[in-house]
Amino acid sequence: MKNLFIISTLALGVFFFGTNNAQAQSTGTTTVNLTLSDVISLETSAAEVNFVYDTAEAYNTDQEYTVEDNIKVTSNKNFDISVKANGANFTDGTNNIPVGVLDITAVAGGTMGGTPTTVTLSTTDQDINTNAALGSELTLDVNYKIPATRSSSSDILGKPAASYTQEVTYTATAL
Amino acid sequence: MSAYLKFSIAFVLIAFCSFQGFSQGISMSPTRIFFTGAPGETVTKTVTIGNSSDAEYIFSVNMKDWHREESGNKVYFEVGSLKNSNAKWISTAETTVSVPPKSTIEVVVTMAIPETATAPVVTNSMLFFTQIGKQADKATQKDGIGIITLFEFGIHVYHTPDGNNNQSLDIVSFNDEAATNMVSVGIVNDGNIICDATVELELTNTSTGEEIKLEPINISMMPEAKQVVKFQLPEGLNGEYLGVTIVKMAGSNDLRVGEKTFEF
Repeated sequence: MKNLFIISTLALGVFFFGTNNAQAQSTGTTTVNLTLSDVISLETSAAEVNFVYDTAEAYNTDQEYTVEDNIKVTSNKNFDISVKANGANFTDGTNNIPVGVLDITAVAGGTMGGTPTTVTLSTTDQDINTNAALGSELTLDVNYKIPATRSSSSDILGKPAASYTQEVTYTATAL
Repeated sequence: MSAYLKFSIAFVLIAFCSFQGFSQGISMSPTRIFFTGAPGETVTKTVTIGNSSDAEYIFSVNMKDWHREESGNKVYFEVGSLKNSNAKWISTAETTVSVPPKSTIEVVVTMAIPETATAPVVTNSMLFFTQIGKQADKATQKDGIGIITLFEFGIHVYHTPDGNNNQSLDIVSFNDEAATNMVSVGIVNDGNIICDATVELELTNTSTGEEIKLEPINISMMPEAKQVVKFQLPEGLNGEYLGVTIVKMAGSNDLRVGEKTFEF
């Protein structure tokens, strides 16, 4: 019985001593470094928007298209979105339609905050959504509209049938 | 394992997952470049462009002057138009950069600070990476009016002279704009460095004690700039309210507090 007590005491001692030693050997300091940089990401969901005038009614009617999730932004700072045309006219190479026939509206409804607004397209940068809060995959719906007052005017009416195009550039900048 | 370490690891995992999944587009980092350096020095910073899509993107690199209106909106000008422009000091090795699919490239931005730039003022400009459209986009257009959408990134470029280190904003007005149901807070940057801040507004009904805390608005101001921050009020406010606005400057505990009683 006495031997058993001594053996048990030694075994317990070795167990705790050994455990503590083992723990001491596995204990250390790990430094986790986080390097965070400002980043902004932008994508547009639709490469093209087309307005077709193939009937008399089309010229006398507001035409508009709302592209859902047209712009998607991820940013770790608040940001602005502006828009501009890359030229003064929609053109088929010979004939021109002024870009000012088109209104572009940032539509509230996506996940992107900020202050949305409507602009008449020009070659000057114009904000369509300002001071949007930072976030990931924030979406903005965009409405493109040519009012009947413009499509029934000489800006469009009477122009030769053709494909008139212009590039429209959306710009993302940190606040 | 400390709670801080657990939080850090969780944050990294969340951030990693978020940024892996967010986009099939183009990303730019950083969004603002802050140069320092003495007159005559040439300094560089790197912009990283990531392309997570399956398509190649080509960007033209160009500069513009800009300033912020009191409303907070940015207005752009041709290079050299504004007195505090540093656009002419900036260069990149190439004026067009191509970003292959599923790749990341780095663009070195060089600022050559002129010997004559001795005035202790912050200068700025905007560095643009503008997507160049492809002929294939135009070929798919039908008869009618077609829009080809492209995108562009503007990266703020600032130069802060050595010795400029005074961060300070001041509240110069605090007004009720009844016609638009807004309260405006006028702020000036009376320091000599760029100052980021958050502007808060809280209204307390002096009769009932009802408190209304409006969504804070972030601002970023150049030295000597003035900005009017407008808070849209909820409909139906009626009675006397104590308005308190707090301007919290980023990166410090410094703040400014304004207080005024409004009758709505």
